[in-house]
Amino acid sequence: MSRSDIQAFYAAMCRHDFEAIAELLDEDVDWTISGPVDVLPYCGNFRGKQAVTRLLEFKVPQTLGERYIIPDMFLIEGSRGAALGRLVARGRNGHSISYRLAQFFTMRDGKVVHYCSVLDSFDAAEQVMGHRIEVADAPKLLDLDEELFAV
Amino acid sequence: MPQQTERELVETFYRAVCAQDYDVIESFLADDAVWSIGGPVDALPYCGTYRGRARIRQVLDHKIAETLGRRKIIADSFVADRGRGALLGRLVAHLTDGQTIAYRVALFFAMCDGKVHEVHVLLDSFDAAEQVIGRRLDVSHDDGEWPHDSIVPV
Repeated sequence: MSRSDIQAFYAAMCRHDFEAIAELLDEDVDWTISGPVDVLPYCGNFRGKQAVTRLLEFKVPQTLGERYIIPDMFLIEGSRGAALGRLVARGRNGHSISYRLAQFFTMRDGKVVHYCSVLDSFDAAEQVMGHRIEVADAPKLLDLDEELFAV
Repeated sequence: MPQQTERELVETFYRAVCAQDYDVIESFLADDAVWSIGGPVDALPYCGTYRGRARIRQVLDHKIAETLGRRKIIADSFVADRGRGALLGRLVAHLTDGQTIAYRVALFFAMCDGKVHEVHVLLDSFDAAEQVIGRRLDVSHDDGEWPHDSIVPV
């Protein structure tokens, strides 16, 4: 496994070059993006090249328009890559979206067999929805404990 | 005692992070280290950016420990590249009310001359917030909509 294969995949991810990404996917690729599916429909677990290409070609653009990733840290060890960056996209209403994401992937024979992404999903959800998610009325755990003991 | 290689130092720090061993973590931190945790401060009070070893230790000891109780990170993947490390895993915590929560976490760090200068933590923060506050977040209403003039077109 050469570093250049891993670099090529991450470069394709950064510029969201769908055709280049698809070229580098293994037929049995396992692809996971963490996050709330009801707000960020591109999150979830997808198995197989067909499911992932469908995700990238159709599902992601329904939520995120023109988009790219600004890399911050990119590590390579053997057949694995890990990257920290910021996704910048245009939302459905034309507003800008920008959130941090981590990407981990494994390649075999020049193809990606495993991919997992962790988003700052609360931030991403707020931006995609275009409004704040209210958490202020949520009970604080320590206060809740005190109330329970007092009853 | 032989000196640890850079790779060994990176792995030692990684193991301390997984075990949430704050004494070892602190021993690696540079005086001016930066530790950032992305997420909503309202729901996850330990989120934010912290500067300096003493301040980071304070956050680890108080904000994180008080919110999450006993905890560890179960690693799925670890990538080390020169003085940098990247961990993908799941944080499992036993809250003070006895509830156990688990959410996905990614942690990146950069080390130079045996000292960690920056740590960046990303959580599946929506999932973490729901579990810590103990209820589903309402994503259906439009209250609190951001003013359109604050949105800058790309």
